[in-house]
Amino acid sequence: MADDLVIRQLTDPAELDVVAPLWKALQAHHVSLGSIDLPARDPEDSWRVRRGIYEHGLAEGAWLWVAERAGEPVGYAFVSRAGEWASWQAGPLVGLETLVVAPGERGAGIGERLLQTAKDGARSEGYTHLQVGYIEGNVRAAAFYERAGFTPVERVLGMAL
Amino acid sequence: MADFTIARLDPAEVDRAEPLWNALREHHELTLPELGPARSREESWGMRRSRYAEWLTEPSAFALIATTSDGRDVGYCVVTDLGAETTFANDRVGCLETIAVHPDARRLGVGSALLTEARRQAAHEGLPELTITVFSGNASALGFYAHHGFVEYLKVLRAPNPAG
Repeated sequence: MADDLVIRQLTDPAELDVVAPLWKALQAHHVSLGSIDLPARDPEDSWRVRRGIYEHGLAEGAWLWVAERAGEPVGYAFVSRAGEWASWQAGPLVGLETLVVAPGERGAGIGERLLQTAKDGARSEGYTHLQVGYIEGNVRAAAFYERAGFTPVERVLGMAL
Repeated sequence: MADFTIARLDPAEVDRAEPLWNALREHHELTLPELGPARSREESWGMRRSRYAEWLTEPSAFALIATTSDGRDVGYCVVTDLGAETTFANDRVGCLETIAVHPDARRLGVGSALLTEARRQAAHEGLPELTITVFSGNASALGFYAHHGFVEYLKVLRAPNPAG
C-alpha cells in the first residue's frame, strides 16, 4: 500500500500551499484535544501564520519533506535547525516542528518513513539530536514518539494572563 | 538580607545576571546529569548572554532583577515574546526564558516575587499568556509553577540521531 509512496523535499516557498489541507487537519486535531484552554485560531488564519513560519524556516535552511501518492500530498514533516542548550554540551539539534499524516492514511507507516527521512537529512548535516513536542493529551503522538526512541526532556507549562 | 526589591534590568547591564546564571548552570549540572556533560562557565554564559541581547531588543521583552537592601543581586528573570501561535488565536506569547535565584537566597520568596512581577509586567505589555519550559526531571520546579497556576501545555521529547 505504501509502495507507491514518494517522499520529496519541498524547497520552493511558492509551493507551500500544497500542504495547507494537511496542516488544517492537524490544527483541527490539536484543537479537538481540548487540553489547552485558549481560543482556537480560524483554520485559514492558522495556515496563514503557519505558512509564514515555514517560509521563514525554508529561508534559514529548514527541511520540508512531503510524502505523496500519485502526486497527492498525504503527509509532511517540517524540520528546523534549532539552537543548543546553554547548560549542556549536547547538540546540535533539529526540531521536528510538524509531522502530520492525512487522517485516511494513518497506520500505513508514512509517519515512520517521514521521520526516518527527517533524521537522515539532519544527520547528513551533522545534527546529532532531534527534538519534538506534542500537546498534552495527544496519546497517539506520545505512543508514536516513544516507539521511535524519543525520551521526555522538558515540559512546556502555560497560563492565560 | 530578607528585604529585596525587584526592578527592570537594563539590557546594557545584563552582565549583572552572570553569577546568577552560573549558579543555575551548576544546579542543572548537579540535578540533571542525564542530559550529558555540562558546558564550561564561560561558554555557557557567553551563549546565554548573546541570546538575552537578541531577545531583549523585542519591544515587549524585559528582564527583572531582585536586589537586597544591602545591594546584592539575588535573582533575575527574562521574559520574551514568541510571536503568534498557529493553533490558538493569540498573536503574542510571553515566554519566561529564565528564572534564577541565588542558592544563598532560596526560600525567601525571591522566585515567587519575580514570577508575580513578571506576570504583572507581561500583562501590562499586552502579552495574553505566559509559558515556561521546565526540565521533566525537575520536580521542585514543576511543583512551584503548578502552585502558581501554570498548567501543562506540551511535552518535549528528544532522540539521539548519531552519525554512522
